[in-house]
Amino acid sequence: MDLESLDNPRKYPLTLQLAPMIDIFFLIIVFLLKATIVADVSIVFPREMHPPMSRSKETLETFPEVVVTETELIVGIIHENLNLSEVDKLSEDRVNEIKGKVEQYVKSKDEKVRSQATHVNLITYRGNNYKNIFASVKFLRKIGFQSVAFIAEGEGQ
Amino acid sequence: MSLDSTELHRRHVPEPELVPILDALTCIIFFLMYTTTFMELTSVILPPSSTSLVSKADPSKGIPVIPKLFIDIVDRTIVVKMKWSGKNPGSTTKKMDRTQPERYSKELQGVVETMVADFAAKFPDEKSLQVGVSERGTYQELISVMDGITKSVPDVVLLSPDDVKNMNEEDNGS
Repeated sequence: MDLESLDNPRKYPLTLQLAPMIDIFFLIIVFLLKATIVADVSIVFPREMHPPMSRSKETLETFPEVVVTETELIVGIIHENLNLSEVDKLSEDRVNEIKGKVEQYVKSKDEKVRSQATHVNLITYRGNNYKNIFASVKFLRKIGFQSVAFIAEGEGQ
Repeated sequence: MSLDSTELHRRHVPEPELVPILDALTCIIFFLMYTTTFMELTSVILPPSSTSLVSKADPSKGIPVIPKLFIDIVDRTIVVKMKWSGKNPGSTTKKMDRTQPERYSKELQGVVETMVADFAAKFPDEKSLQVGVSERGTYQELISVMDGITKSVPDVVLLSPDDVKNMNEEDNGS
């Protein structure tokens, strides 16, 4: 250290060290953002698919997701895209094949979360018609899912 | 190593200007945070399906009530009809305008809530209600109806849209 500089304040004026301060501030922001719990379960809605509004106070659970579009039922966990107009007309063999896939999926889960695997979160847009919703719920029950949770947007907005 | 040579070495090492970079990054974070929209999601649960045994030989249990709520859409009108069987069968009907089927209808939710609350007051033991919506009904309308029901009756069972059609035919006597 240059001891002479300490004796001469005019030559080295006291300055605020902004660099480390901003650095720490930046780290804190990142830490706070990461630590913020917005929801225990994150559900990503497909683009242009607006969920319905609900006053329900039920919390979300980590169930497998099923997406219902205008024409299709997408069961991502077993890689099945089914045409909604044909789900009622599927042959028994085909239904059993899908049912087998669901059973395999459930068995592959850890024992602690296995019971959750038989429930599904149903995702669809608010304008979808009841006929599609009913057909989807009926088929999901048929292939082995016990309960269906309709995902909606809370009143917090 | 002497102090002079260290200073000389430092002068030749290129250092990135971190301060403006961090400063800009901090500004960007605030901008991103303000433009982000957080969506609070909730769920309306259809409980697991179950069967219940009703013995005809046991007179203490009486005839099952089996309450049903039908949401029919006729032109621009929503017809909310509740029917039940049992010892004292009955039904109530209310009509309302259908304005925006894809928007949350407080009116529809309110009508259903009142109707189901009245029913629940008469039959406090009933824990499930069967709900059927017309084919033309939207998912948003179903959720509004379910919001109205679950305050008084916890379990909802969905009925086919054909049941709503059949109910109309029965009522019209065809």
